[in-house]
Amino acid sequence: MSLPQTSIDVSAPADARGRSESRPVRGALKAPRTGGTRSLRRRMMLDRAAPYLFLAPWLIGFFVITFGPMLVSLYLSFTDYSLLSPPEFIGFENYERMFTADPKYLESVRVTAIYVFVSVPLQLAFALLVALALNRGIKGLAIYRSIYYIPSLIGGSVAIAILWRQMFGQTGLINQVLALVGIEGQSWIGHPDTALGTLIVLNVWTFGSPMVIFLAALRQIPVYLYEAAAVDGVSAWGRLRHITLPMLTPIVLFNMILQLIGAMQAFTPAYVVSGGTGGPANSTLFYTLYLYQRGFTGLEMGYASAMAWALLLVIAAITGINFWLSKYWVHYDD
Amino acid sequence: MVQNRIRRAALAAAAAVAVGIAMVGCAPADDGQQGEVELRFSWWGTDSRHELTNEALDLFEEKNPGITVVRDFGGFDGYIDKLLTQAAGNNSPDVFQLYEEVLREFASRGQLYDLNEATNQGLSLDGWDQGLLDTSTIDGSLSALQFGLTTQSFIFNTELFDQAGVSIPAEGWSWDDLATAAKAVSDGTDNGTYGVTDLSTGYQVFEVWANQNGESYLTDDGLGFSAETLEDFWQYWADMRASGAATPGSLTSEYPTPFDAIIASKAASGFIFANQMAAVQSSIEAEIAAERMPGESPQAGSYLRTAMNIAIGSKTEHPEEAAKLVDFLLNDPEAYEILGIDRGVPANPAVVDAATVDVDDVTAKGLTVIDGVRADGAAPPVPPKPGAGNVNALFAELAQEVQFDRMSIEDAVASFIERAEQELS
Repeated sequence: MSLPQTSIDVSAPADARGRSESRPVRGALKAPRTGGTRSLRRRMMLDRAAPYLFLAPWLIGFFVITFGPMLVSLYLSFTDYSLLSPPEFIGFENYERMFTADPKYLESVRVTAIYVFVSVPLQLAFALLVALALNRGIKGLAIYRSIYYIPSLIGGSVAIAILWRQMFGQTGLINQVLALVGIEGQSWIGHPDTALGTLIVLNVWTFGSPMVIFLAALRQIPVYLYEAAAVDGVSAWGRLRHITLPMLTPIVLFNMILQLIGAMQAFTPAYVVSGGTGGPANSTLFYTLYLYQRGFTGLEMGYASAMAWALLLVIAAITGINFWLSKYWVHYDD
Repeated sequence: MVQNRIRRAALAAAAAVAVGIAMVGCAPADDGQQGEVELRFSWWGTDSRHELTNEALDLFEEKNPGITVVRDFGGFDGYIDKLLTQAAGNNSPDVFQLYEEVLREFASRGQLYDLNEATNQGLSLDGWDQGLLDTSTIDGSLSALQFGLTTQSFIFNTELFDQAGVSIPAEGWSWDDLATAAKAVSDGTDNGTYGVTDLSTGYQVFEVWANQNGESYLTDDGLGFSAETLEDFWQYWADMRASGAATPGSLTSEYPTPFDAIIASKAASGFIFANQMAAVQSSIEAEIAAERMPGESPQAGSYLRTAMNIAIGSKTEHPEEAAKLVDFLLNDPEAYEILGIDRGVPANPAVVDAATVDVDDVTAKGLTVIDGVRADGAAPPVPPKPGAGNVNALFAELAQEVQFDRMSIEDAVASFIERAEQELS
């Protein structure tokens, strides 16, 4: 915001001292020595400070509740901290142990990687399909959109995880439905081969949030492109391949990054469905769940902090790679 | 002009809001009126325990008009997480329950008040068995006191046993007897109901098994058992699963503890601590019978075990009042008329009569088992070393690998021994 280059008439507002100036001041604010312009300076300073003062509540919250603790946890990752006694500095020992002497750590990375790289593409594909279906102009679109959106609001909650545990148990709802068709189901959450699958299904079930974004993006695709395609006699499949999908690629990137970050940090479903154990046989041992176990059951908060920072770096790296790769497949309109 | 006034007013409002929000985080002062002391007492348990404890605490407040007890209770899940977080924030309760597995962790880091000091402040240790006091004395300081004694035992669903036409095993039974009875019950009941829960993931059951073989589970120097003993244990349960006597792995994983499967009528028998019997009976309609652990002769494996401890936080601001509360909860017969044996048999023999004045059948059976073990049980182990928590989790994890045939028993045992020794060193 540049200062106005016109003359400032300081004669109109009488300043605090009751004097008024009739001399116009040209150009940028030169340093006038009389009282009228000192209050002007004060007003300009307050003007500049106003945004920060308005931001103050959020800034205080950010530094005190988020950023400050992040820095403390970075420090703690280089210590041995049991919560019950003060932290002891041990250098890179936590990081060394993590990567070289902890098989369970590598297991948790493997489980989380499977969860992330299977459930996110599935979820996005589902979201896109449903968005395409809803975009045909169905009656009651708003209702369908809300119904499909609700799971993503409650999907991460403890209540839903408990429900999921019940549904996929030996005598749960899923098996009861399968029995109607004559299939005898097993305990889906009790068997290590299928327990992770139930969590993947849970993540796919919360497709509503990316779906709503896809739906909005589909509306943004200029109609003249489709009209041109109709003139050229392009098939429905061709329209999808050559118009819809390319125009959607920025939104696909957005949703993909958002969902990847969320999935890498997933905790509640694994904790509740496995009862905090990451079982059966470590099949649902998400990275954050193992971090929690190390911190609270093992009283190794320093190690847990090291794990948290390793995760942060991995998420940053994956996001960075995605952005770099995006220049090869994302088409921006401009 | 008017613009400036509006702007100034808006700035003042924003500043006020910011200050207001910062103030919200400030907690009000601790003490109430003059002379009124507030103690915080934390415990875990089921709803029935919460009822009984609250009643007893009301009685304490009546008898001690200057003291108010702020109660902090919930389930077992997450209890220790909460306690650790409070300890890290220098906000520990004045008095709290602690289970045996974490006692050393807390005591060795100076989190517990020396109860020997509390004997000068209102806590009496008259009539307490010196052996019990010794096990709770860590680094020369009496870190906690037993809030109840219990022992390992076995319960049976009499309805399911009757259905299969199998009689409940009697005292002096062996592990082979369990194998035969459980198989018969599995065969004689519906599909999906098994004779016994698979106990291979239970380090607390293995502890008894090891004791019965003249070894122990964890000692001060690390692991106290041989590879063969653990191999035999896991092999026994693998055979039980193969014959259909024990629940299959995927069913066992669905239930957090063995008695949950019994309550759901998926298993007809299983392991339990004697003081938990009443809670199970109240959750299931069928009558529960109880017996001592199998395989107790020629060498007893079960022992008189601390069900849970009670301790005073080392940073408490009111040690005298806390000592009075602990004394009430451990030594006052009136307290035990209310509390009963929900937390186990009281360690102080003087209040045992008050606690057992009105017991139902299954509790009476539990008391018989405890008395039997008190008479000729194995010696109790020392409180577990730091790192034991990870070892116990590892035990369950590797047992599951065996349950689902993902690892051979020899490999699992070797892996467990190697990694457990690492954790404990």
